[in-house]
Formats: sequence, structure tokens, C-alpha cells
Amino acid sequence: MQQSHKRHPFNFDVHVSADQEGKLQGFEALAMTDSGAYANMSPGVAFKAVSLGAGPYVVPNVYCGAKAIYTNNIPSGSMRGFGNPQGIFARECALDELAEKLGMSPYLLRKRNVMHRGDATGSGQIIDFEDIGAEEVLDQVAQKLDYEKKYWQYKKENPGKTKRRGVGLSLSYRGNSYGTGVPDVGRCYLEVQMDGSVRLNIGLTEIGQGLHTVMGQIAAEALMVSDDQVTVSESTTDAPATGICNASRGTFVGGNAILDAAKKIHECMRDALSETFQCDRRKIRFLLDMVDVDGKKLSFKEAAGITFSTGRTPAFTGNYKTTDPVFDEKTGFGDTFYEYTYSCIGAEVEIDTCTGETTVLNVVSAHDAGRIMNPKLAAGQIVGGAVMAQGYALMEDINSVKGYAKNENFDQYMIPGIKDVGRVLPVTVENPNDRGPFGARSLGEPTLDPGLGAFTNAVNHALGELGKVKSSPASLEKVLFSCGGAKGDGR
Amino acid sequence: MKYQDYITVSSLKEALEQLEKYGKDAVIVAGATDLAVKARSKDWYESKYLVDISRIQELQGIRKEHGKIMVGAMTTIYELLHSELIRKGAGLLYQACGNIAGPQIRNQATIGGNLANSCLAADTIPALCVLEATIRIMGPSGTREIPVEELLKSCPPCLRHEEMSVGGCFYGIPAGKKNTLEPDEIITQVVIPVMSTDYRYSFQKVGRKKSGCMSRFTLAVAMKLSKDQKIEDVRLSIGAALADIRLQKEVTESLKGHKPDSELFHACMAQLGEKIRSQVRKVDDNIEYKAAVCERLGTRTLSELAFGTVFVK
Repeated sequence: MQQSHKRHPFNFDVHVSADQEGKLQGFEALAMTDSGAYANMSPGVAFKAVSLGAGPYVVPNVYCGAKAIYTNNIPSGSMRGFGNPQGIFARECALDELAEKLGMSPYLLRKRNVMHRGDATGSGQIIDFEDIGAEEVLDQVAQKLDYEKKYWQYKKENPGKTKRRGVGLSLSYRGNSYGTGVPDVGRCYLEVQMDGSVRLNIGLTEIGQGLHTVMGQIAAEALMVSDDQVTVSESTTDAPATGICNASRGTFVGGNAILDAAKKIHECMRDALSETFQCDRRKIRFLLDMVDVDGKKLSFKEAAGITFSTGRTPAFTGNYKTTDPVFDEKTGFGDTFYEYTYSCIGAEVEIDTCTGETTVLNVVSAHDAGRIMNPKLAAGQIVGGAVMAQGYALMEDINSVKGYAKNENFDQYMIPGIKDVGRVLPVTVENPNDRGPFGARSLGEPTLDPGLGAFTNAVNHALGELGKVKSSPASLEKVLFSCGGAKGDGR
Repeated sequence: MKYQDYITVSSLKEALEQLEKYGKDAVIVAGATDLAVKARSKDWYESKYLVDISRIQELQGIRKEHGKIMVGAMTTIYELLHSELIRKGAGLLYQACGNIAGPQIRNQATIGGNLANSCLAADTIPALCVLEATIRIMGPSGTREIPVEELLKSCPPCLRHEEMSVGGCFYGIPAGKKNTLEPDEIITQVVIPVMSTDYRYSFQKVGRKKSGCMSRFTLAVAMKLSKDQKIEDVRLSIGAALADIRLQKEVTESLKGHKPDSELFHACMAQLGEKIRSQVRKVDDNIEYKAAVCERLGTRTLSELAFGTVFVK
């Protein structure tokens, strides 16, 4: 634990303004991040914090900047979210504060300003290639958490109590893959064997999120064979270089590479079948586990066998290169990412003013990641992200003294246990477009991204002052000392 | 883990022989849930002879004898949690045990070990103080019996150990330094008078998680109201906040005979909070936190006990 890279610590100076009706006028976030001893991932992390910093909102005036600083601290590196959770936290807590000043519900403030198709992001990118699910995920969370009612009810009921409830929201978006200036290529090796079974070799790593399952599903769907015909090899260097599993690129880039390979395989099989049966290539259709050759029905297995017998090999590499968004680094204007996932997390907590403890009661986590490839795995990703965010927001902290981490093991680095976790409701809304494989977009990091903001906002609502706790984690001490003169008899 | 020798004994007689033989170099091993963790961070036991007492029959078992519950020192926390005698007759200890670490530790850790390790954050000790339990200790010259609250020696350095983690403990061998045990003595039994059903009680633990963590603050309190609803008796002990663990008699004396009143409770717990602060020259966040929790949580717990709702965590 001493040597490994840690999440980038960030400091933000945020200014946000709105008119009396709650329409955002300006957003400024100036960030400083501690790179530690090595620059490593800092430029990328800083870019993510800045490019996504204004969030999925329509804001006419935006300035987001970040400086990464060399220090003699533990080196900072990649950690799920990569700068976005930090930027979201600063913005979403500021928005809650602003809502309180306006006398408005934080939900309505966000709803009033959320982006829709055709609107421009903070860097001026016009998102017209997809329906933006930001308002939908916001509405889903607000409705399922019963946010409006609880926001006003708890505000009214809390004073005088030692156990106080709070609700918090956080809305965000995330670009899939690396974004502008960093080319991204997905590759795979896809092979139909003589018996019609299918093998997929793809270098993306299965880290428990179910990537191999989804890649297998995409291969099966693209080739029109049953799922059980497809074998995905263990993460392997026997596949063409396809980069690491990061940046929420797996489903998006890997899936598109598979589509490319599958198309090549179908073309090869078409050549073989049209030659064998002397028919027009256009009269050959692939159905599930079957091929219709101008009215004659063959099984996929037979078609595979025929392809091999003509001396052809239905095995190809798939290749997908992301379109590089055009962004001007000097002016900070332009397109930052090719594809986006829209997310919202809402949390309901109860704090104890006598001990500073925070109990998580309910979490609703909603995401628009285009077409969901596997609902169960998506739910797993969503719930996992929410729990990880809970740890991030309420108990995780690296305390370093003279460059050494004081907490060296999990007896002192606290992560949530089974008794800490509340109910998490995963929700997906689907607004697919034609950029992702079968309309899919990635979920790896978006499921964590808005969590820190949501839990912190909920704690602050319970404390009775939005924006009160302005740093992570909302530890026992921080919450207790924020309770002011609270006494054990409820005063 | 480095040590000179590991000796498993099967009787108390054998154990005492080994302790006499190796003197200050003998270290008793029960569940090893503290010892094995400490051994990983520092070679505390490199020159020591480990005497494993877990097979000694005389140290096992829970039974009732003349209105008292006799608990063998090797009784595990798990066994305490599954004992009807404990649940019904020593409910405060039962509540404390439920807050100790997590299931794996509770399966292995013993009540004797929790006492002998003498950590300020030990959860059984405040509960046993309030239960007015005694400890039976066997040595070469025979057996003696002391109240639990006379076991711990005051240890101010431990207050600087913020999280009080096992691995970071300043004392690999607590005997003599942290407690009043001689190096050639073994705790054999814990004797708990059955708590009368006239008492209402509560054990509170505050930790950074809801399970599997060290206590930041513990509170054990039992209260008896008279027929005219005055406080006839109250006993209170806190852990992880003062340099030792005992009954806080000054606090409780000022409550006896009075009608329950939250202002009065607050005054008493604020006084105890001040006692926490006065231990150090400069009150940092760590001490201030514990003092504040003592004041607030203590007031609320006393109020809840007195006015009806027993608040069980």
C-alpha cells in the first residue's frame, strides 16, 4: 500500500452563478492537483476534470482550468473516475449551495439547466448525435428516491433531533474512451471453426465486471449464432494489442472491433456460399444459427464447413479506431469526446449528531449508457460503483506524513463492509445511437463518478447546511464537528 | 512470526510450570487474535517462549453458581454470544460482544485474552466493570480475585495512539506494563454477578464502520430506578477515551437519588468530557472528538434509559 499510486487529491475554487429563476449564468472551476513524485497520469486526469467539469448543463459562460503540481508526496495515478469524480464533487456541492441560496430545490435547479440534444457542452461541443439521457436519469433518481418530498420534509423535521436524515443528488456525464488527442484502437481476433463454433481472442481484461461475457454476447449477436457457440479466451497476449481496460472504453471500443471482424467473416462465408451454390451474394442472409442461401436453409455449422472446403478461412482480426474529436488546446474550445454516458446518483443518509456516524439508507443510481448489453452485469457495475462511492465519500482516506502513508493496511484504511451498505437501486435508461456496438456505451467509471457528490450533498442536507462539508471523506470527526452545538438531548 | 519456542500445555499446572521456567520470557497465547497481528508488524516475541493455553479444560465453559456466572478465560466471544446464561444474566456483556470486530475474530478471540491484552479500546472491559465482574487469577502462590476495574494500569501513552490499531500497538507484551498481572500469572475465570432485571442497560460502540473496526469510543451504563422513579443506582464506564477503564464513580454519585433529568445528565457527561480533555496538554481533534462524543452520546443514552426507550445498536 505504500508504493502503489493513489487517486489524485484535488483542490477546487468554484464560482457558480444563476439568475433569480435559477438559470445558470456562469461556472468557473480552478483546480490544483497533487501529482506526487511523478507526473504519470496527471495530465490526463487534469484534462478529464477540466473537460467534463461543467457537467451536462447549459451554461453560457464557462472557465475550467487545472494545474498539476509535483510534490514529494505519494505518486498519484489512475483510479476509477480519473479526475471526473473530483470535478463532479466540487460542482455538484456548489450547485446544492446555490440552490439553497435561491430557495429552490436542488433537483429543480438541475432540471432547469440540464442539457438536451443539440445543446453545447462547457467546451462548446454540440451533442447532436444522440439523445442526451441526463434529464431522464435525473428524473428517475428523484422519483425513485422520493427526493422532493424528503428534501423539504427532512429540512423541516431535523432541527432538534440527534438522528437527522438527508438526501443528496449528483448529475454527471463522462466521455467514453480517451478523448481528444489520444488515439484509441480496439482490436480482436475472431474465428469460426470447422464445426461452426466461434472463438474470440481479445486483449481487454476481465476484472470481474463481466467484460468477457459481454464481448462474447456481441460476437454471437454480430455473427448470428447462439451465445453458447462462442468461447472467449482468457485475457491473453495471444490477441492483437488492444490496450488496457480503462477510460470506460471496453464495451465501446472492444465491441466495435468485434463487429468489424464479424463483418469480415460474414463476407468470407458469403463468398464461399455464393461460389458453391452459384447464387447472387445479395441473396444470402444470416439468421440465428442458420443461413438462408436463396431460399435453401443451411445450419451455420454446415455453412462453416462449406467455407473451409472452398479453401477459405473464416477467421479475421477486427479493427476499430475511434474518431479523434477536434479540440483546440490553445483556446479550450471544441469536441472533447466522441461518445458520452450520462449518470445520476441520489443518496439518502441518516447522521447521528452524537457520534458523527453516517448511515446509508437508500441509494438510487441511474445511467444512460445507450443500449445495455447485459442487464445483470450492468446492475452489478452500478451497485458496485455506488458502494465504492460510499467508501470514497464516508470513510476512505490516505493520510501521508513525510511522503509515507500512515495507514498501511485495511485495519486503518476503511472500506465499507456488508453492514455498512444500504439499499442500492440500479436504473438504466437507454438512448442508443449508431456509434457504439449495437448502440452500447460504457459503464465502468460512470457508475462511480457522481457518487462522492451525492453522498456529500446528502450528509450536508442532514447537517442542515448545504455545502457545509467541503472535503472528502465525511468522516466521524468532520460530521460531528459540523454539528455545532448539538447536545445529546437533541439541542 | 519469530519466537524461541511454542509450547502447547494441557493443564493449568503445566502452564504455571512453563511460566515459572521462562519467567519474563514467557508469553501466554490464547486465541492469538491480538498477538499474531502484533507479531506481523514487529518481532516482539523473538526472544520469547509462547505458552499456548487453548487446550486447558479448566479454562473452558460457562456455568452458573450461586447467582454468579462463571466464565472460563478461554471462552470465545462467539461462545459468549451463543450463551443463554450470558444473554439473559449479563446482557451488557452480550451487547458488547456483538460489537467486537467481525465474525472471524469473534470465533477465535477469548474473554481472557481481551482482558489480559488490556487495550484501552477493548470492548468487554467497560461492560464487565459496570457488571461489577471480578477476575480470578492463578499464580505460583495460589489464586486471587480482583474487580475488573483494578486490572488495567493507567497508560497515558496509549492516548497518542489515535486509531488504537492492534498492529500499531505500543505494547507487544502488556503484562505488568498495561495491567496489574505478574508475568507468572494466568487469568482463569471471569465471575459475573447476574444482573437483576430491575436494571436497564445499554452498551454503545462508536467506530468508523458498522463492523470489523476498532472502537473510537465505548460506553457501558446500567441504571436502576426506584418505585418513585428516582435514580436508585447507576453505574457507568467508558472505553477508548481515558488512560484506563474503570467505573466513573464521581459522575454516577452525583446522579444517585435524583429524578432523571436531561440537564443533569448533560452536566455529568460534560464533566466526564472535561476529564477526557484534561488528560493532555494540547487537545487535538482526536481527543476533542472523544470528549464531544462522551458528552453527547452519554447524555442521550442516559436519557433514553431513564425515559423509556432502551436504545440498542
